[in-house]
Amino acid sequence: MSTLHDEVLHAVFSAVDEINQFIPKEKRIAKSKDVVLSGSAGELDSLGFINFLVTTEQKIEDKFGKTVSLTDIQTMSQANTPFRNIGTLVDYISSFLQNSNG
Amino acid sequence: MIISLRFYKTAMDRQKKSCILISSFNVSNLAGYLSNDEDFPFIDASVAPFGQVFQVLMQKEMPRHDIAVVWTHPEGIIKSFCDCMNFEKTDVDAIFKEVDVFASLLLGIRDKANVLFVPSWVVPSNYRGLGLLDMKADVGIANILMQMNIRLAENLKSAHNVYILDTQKWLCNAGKNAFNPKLWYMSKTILGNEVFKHATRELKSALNAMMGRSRKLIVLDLDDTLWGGIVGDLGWQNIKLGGHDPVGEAHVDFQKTLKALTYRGILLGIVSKNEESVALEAIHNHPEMVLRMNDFAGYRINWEDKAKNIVDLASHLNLGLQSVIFVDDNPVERARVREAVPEVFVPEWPEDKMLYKSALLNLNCFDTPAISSEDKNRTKMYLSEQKRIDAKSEISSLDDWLKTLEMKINVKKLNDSDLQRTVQLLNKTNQMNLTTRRMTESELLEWINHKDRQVWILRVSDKFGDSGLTGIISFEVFNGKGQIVDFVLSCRVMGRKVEETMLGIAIQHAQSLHLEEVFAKYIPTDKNKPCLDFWKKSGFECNERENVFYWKLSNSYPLPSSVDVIQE
Repeated sequence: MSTLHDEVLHAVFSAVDEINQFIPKEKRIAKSKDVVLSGSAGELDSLGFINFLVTTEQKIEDKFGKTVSLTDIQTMSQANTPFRNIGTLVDYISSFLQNSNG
Repeated sequence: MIISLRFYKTAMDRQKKSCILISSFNVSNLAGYLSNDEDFPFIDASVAPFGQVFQVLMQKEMPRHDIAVVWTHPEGIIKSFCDCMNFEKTDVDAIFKEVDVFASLLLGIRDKANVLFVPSWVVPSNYRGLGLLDMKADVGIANILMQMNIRLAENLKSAHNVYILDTQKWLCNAGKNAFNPKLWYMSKTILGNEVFKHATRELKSALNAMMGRSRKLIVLDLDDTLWGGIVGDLGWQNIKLGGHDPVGEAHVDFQKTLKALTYRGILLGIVSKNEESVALEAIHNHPEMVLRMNDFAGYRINWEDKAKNIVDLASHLNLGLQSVIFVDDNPVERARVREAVPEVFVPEWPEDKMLYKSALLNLNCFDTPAISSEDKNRTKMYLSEQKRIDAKSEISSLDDWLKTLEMKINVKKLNDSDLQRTVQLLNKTNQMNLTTRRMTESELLEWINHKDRQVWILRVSDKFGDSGLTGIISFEVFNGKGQIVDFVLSCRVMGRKVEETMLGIAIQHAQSLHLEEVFAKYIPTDKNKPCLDFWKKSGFECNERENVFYWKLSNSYPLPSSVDVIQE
């Protein structure tokens, strides 16, 4: 039986599939928890990053019926940013969904 | 010898089309979808700086592209409309003036691209405007927006290479994801990616249509496709078709939609595993059949492999398999045809019969850049051709048979009124085509706009019917010699001495110019061997290594006696 964490990972990977459709082939990102999202080593350019976040929000809403806001300033400027890589983003969303269910 | 042929089909096919996107909002995602899409034609899309539409359109040194797309949001480009949306003031005349200016700028760049696409103006679906009053004439925002789009279309209608595309359809298909305010605020991308995906599909479909790559023949199964049930088991009286039954009604509607497509020049054919007599009895006798035998260009009703029957039927109709789509309710038959003849398009088909009509309407493979009178009568033309074949089998000599046809060939120089049909013929003819060069209307106009070049078109008719505009011959004087550049003839009239007539016309023209020699360069493709075979028998001297044919103009080339040539 899949856990909440697995389901979130699946939703985030489907967002990766979505954005890879319009990102230049050489810049496409892998479906891996290790893909770096923010900082100088971030694998997406700024437009790609915004598209990825907005698409992930949509996927989470479609799957769980909950609105997770990844694009607000508070989330984006957190000291312990959830956008270090795909793995940390999945942790952040899973934790958000767990708390909102509780 | 220098051969002045710049267009080679194979090269054209492989080459990426350059596309410039000019927009009042961020369309980088659309550029990505267009460039990444692996369906033909391949596109290399670039984006002009967004928000600088007027500056880009007014730029004198704008480089030429194969495709230009100018996609704007109305409140971002028409200031008076923005005032109207903000309920500041409504001045319809001022709005129209701005629309006219914008249209004139679009017309100003039409020669900078082979084709210019302008998606129609829309406002976000959550914008309620004036609510109750929103459709009130000259008051409501929705009403004014409609008028703006119509005004724009009117302004652009005379431009052969400009097409307005219906954005609203893409928004409807994208549903709730059509607009995303977050993408707007964070990246100035006003539309959701679902809209861009639909736009990509539509643009590709439009380009395929322009390149003569749309599908021309729908091959249909019968049982549980054209009607409900198995006619061989039930008898024609008991199949589900019409009546007070939702599935029967859905089949009638599906047939009506197919019939409507025939008026757009799409041919229908039948490939069904059935007893022929039983199936035909149903088509002839069932009172609620919409499609009768004269709606079908041909059929293969037997127990043989459907893939083989499709190949056979397409060949009988002189159509390539890439022109064919096959519709069958049975997934096994669909898989078999897909596997055996991959050129045939076999769409997935819904199990629910009540979705057949919408599945058919959703197919975007039938688009054409224009609809001619020939298109509307295509099925009739194929049926006339069948009568000709029947007559031929009764007469032994070809010449005797040709004389009985009472053929008339009307020849005239290309003019504006025949331009669309000429480009259509140029782009879809494969077999009797000397060079298979494909051109848009504007490219052909540009080519012909030269004192040493000439294009004639031929209309062929006989006692069985009018085959319409079926031949093109273009000619260029080059270094004191005449070159036959295009030699294009529809397969509908091949082998009836029209080919010889075309050569006779070119030779007469060259002699009137006192040239010494006429030549033609054959460019081979996978499909134009019939053209080579004709030229080898044409009487022209042949350089086989270079595929070049010569005619010394001291010799005349008599027009065939079996045709009546009328030169305008």
